[in-house]
Amino acid sequence: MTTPMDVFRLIERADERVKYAQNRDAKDAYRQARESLAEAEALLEALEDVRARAGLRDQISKRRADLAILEQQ
Amino acid sequence: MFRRTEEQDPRVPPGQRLTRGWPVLHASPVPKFNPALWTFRIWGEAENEIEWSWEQFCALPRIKVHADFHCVTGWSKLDNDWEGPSFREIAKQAGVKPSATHALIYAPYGYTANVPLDVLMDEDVLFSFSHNGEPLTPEHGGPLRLIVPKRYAWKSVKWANGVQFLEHDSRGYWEERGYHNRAEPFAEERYSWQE
Repeated sequence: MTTPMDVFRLIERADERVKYAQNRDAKDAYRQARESLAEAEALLEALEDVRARAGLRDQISKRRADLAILEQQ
Repeated sequence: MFRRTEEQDPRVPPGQRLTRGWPVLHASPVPKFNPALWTFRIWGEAENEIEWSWEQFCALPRIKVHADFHCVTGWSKLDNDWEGPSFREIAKQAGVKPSATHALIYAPYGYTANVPLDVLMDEDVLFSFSHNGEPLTPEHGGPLRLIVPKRYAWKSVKWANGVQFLEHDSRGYWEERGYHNRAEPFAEERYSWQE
């Protein structure tokens, strides 16, 4: 069974790719972060907890907005 | 780079591993430092709204702190020496009001971290110019980084340039993104749903 933690782990992986981006090709890191977010989003549908699903969807949206800003810098 | 001797060292919080290096990680580009343009601003629940220049900030009294450092991504770096003005000194100069309970620490690119005032007023909290006797490098938060040893490192704001004293709590950048509001490493407070 998928848990909210399973989804957040993927979001956290995206965070870590962004946070360590300075050590490597940032564009590649941002692309990988978006891939992790897409994996997290796909996993959302398996969550039975509607409130957790909404909260995590909001977290994914926030990260995508952050990435859009970072990609322009 | 990582050592696995943490089982023997009570200074290493649960779920952490020791690093001999110092990984570089942050959520924004490294800001450019220009001492002629740099300012440090204090506002909110304080008698004195302040805007210090780099020269003025450098003239503040300094303390030295020896402390460990724990990153929520899982590494810990022990025995760090920091030097700079204590948070207590900053609060004293600002004349922080009794109504203040928390502060938001600011950095460029919209980064913030919230910390309760009682934590910031600990004797080991400072704005550090240096690490182990050398000026803080830009990738580690130079020229000025808040150091809050008893919290995960995202609360130790890199490139700190402002303090807003608040009469209530207000979540910062990572705290709004699913990470723990208090972030105490020995309680392993990593995620917001643990609150």
